[in-house]
Amino acid sequence: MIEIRQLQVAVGEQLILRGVDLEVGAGEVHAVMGPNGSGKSTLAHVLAGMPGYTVRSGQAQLRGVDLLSMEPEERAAAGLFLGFQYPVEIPGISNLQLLKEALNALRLRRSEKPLDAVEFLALVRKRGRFVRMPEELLRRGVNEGFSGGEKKRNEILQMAVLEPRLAILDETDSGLDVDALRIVAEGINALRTPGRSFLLITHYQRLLQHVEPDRVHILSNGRILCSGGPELARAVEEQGYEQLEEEASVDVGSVA
Amino acid sequence: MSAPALQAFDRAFQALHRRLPGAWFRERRATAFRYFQEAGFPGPELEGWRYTDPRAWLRLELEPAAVPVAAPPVLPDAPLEGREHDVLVFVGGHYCAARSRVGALPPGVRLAPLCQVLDAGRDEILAQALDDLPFVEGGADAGFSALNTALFNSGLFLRVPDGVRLERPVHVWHLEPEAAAGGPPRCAHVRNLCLLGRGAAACVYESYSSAAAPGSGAPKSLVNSVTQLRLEDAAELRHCKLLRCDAAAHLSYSCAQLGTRAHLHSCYFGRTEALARNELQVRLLGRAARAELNGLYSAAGNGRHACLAMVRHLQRETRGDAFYRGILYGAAHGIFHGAVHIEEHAAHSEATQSNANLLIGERSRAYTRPELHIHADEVQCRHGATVGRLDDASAAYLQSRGLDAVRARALLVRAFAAEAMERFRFPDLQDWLERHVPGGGLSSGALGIA
Ligand SMILES: Nc1ncnc2c1ncn2[C@@H]1O[C@H](COP(=O)(O)OP(=O)(O)O)[C@@H](O)[C@H]1O
Ligand SMILES: [Mg+2]
Repeated sequence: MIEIRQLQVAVGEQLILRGVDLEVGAGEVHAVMGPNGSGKSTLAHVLAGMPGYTVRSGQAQLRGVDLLSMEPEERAAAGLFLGFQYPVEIPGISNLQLLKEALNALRLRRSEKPLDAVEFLALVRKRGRFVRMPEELLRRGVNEGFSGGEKKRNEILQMAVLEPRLAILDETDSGLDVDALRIVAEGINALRTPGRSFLLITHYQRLLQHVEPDRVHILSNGRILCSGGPELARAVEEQGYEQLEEEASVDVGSVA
Repeated sequence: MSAPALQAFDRAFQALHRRLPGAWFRERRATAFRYFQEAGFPGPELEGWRYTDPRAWLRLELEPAAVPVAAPPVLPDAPLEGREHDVLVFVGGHYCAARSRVGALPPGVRLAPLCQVLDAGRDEILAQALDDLPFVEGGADAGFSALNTALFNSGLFLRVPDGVRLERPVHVWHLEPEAAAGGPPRCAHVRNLCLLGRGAAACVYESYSSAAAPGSGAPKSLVNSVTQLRLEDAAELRHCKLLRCDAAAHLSYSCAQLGTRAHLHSCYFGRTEALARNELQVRLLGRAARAELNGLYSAAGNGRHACLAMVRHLQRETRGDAFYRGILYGAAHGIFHGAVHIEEHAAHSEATQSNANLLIGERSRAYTRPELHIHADEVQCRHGATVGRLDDASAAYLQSRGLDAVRARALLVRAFAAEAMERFRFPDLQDWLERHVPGGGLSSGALGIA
């Protein structure tokens, strides 16, 4: 699905990603874990084409297509979705209006006819069922006055409606209470299909108790420190990142 | 304004004034004209004209529109299409009976072009009403309104007697025809009068559109309009002014006087690529009178768009709210000047004023100037003004959802306009507004930034 090779990314003069290699196969769920400031959001943003980053070297391909040369909207059309760690608020455009614009823009690129208001609402109700977003919230401005949890649920709803091939979810679990976490996890599991892949970026392994990943990668100081199965997430929980980093520094190359 | 332009008006007045409607009103016109000759046009030395110097814009020999011109075969983009309403159409300042339509009205209501009312003979009430202006001769910048009194041909006359509520909205539609190629630029003086008796209610749309496409160089025409609104006790007026004259200069004074518990809901929606200046003066004369003023103004190219909103509170418990949003493209300038005066007897009054500007063009600018003069106790006042640009993070967010850069930015412009749009509350106008709002309609597919 996605193949990242030796990706180096800078913000201004500062190198943040120092050569990231990562591959996620079709239908797989991978988790990227790492301490604060290790470059997780940078990785997510640069893949989605957010401004403010300079790719120094390396490549990223989505289903064989060069991702890094595309505009953000072309990446979305190619099937990429980024669930933001901090979704913006945009008063003046409702969540429904944005969803409709986004969905119809994607349909247009696929030469499908735009949905009318009735078809669109039916689709949102159907696909967004498990997120349990009250329609009153959807009629508000984009994320306007939303709690942290509501914002994250809204990102999941957008993902459900836009049906991406690769969803990168940047700390969608942080700031959620137990119920909201379960709703988000159910959403992800419901969308888990053989044709759709996930990159779950998370600081804790909470979410991974509900969504079992195929692979776990530890990102530290701009590099993948080590990779492993779901047990790696539990190891992080027990030992903390520092311990892992220390082990890795004496035992370079032990990555699975 | 240049000497030739002043001379052009002088010639025009001499040639015209005997042919203007209302023979009995001639003397009054002559005094106004003498005043204009002495005062000349206001210029940038006056605070209210600093950023909209008409002398810089109107370096042209304006020819007052003496002869009626034919209405264009197709009226462009009718604001109330498909809605039941009465409409008076004016083309180049002249009444166009063929395109106007007035249905049956309740007893005592008078809805007619002002030229007909003037020609019906001496009318003291009308004479008084026409003189009941805060920008009378003697005021520092009354040049244009004096010129208007001297030269206006027609406009709206609406009188609604006590207790009568008009069911249908009234639309006064001024069309500026395309200037004849090579001909002199035209100048239309428009006077609108709306008088509501006690407890009367009406909804009035005042719109200006121009057939001329925006181009470079000086505007080919000028509209100089004066609109007078009078609301007796407990009267309610919903007034909506629309300006779509990209290529024409538009200068307007409006004034409203409100009696006890009268309510004015006034909205302005305008766009220009030339010069547009809207001055609105409201006097809250009666206790608990209330004025809500909303504006959404935009300018593109080298346009200058100014909104001046002055609310004077003269009695207790009055309330005034001014809410203006400016959107500036290209190298356009937006100007907002809001003034609130709370006089000595206006205790327990409330005033709010809000202006925000969105700069789109690299060279666009916004000037905003709030002014509060409070001479009473126990009043509540709030005001705020901002100037900003589109938020890149928001644009990037929209793009990550599949919208291209142009559409993403257009949508953000639309979002900025939304707050003002919500305050308009003219259901009959919703479709039209949605088509014309900066950023474009929300439900349609491909719409760029204008
Ligand atoms: N726009 C930015 N300007 C300056 N530094 C940045 C910017 N974005 C990220 N960084 C820096 O890059 C590093 C990685 O940040 P980030 O990718 O947000 O980490 P994470 O998501 O893992 O917490 C941090 O040191 C952070 O300060
Ligand atoms: Mg982060």
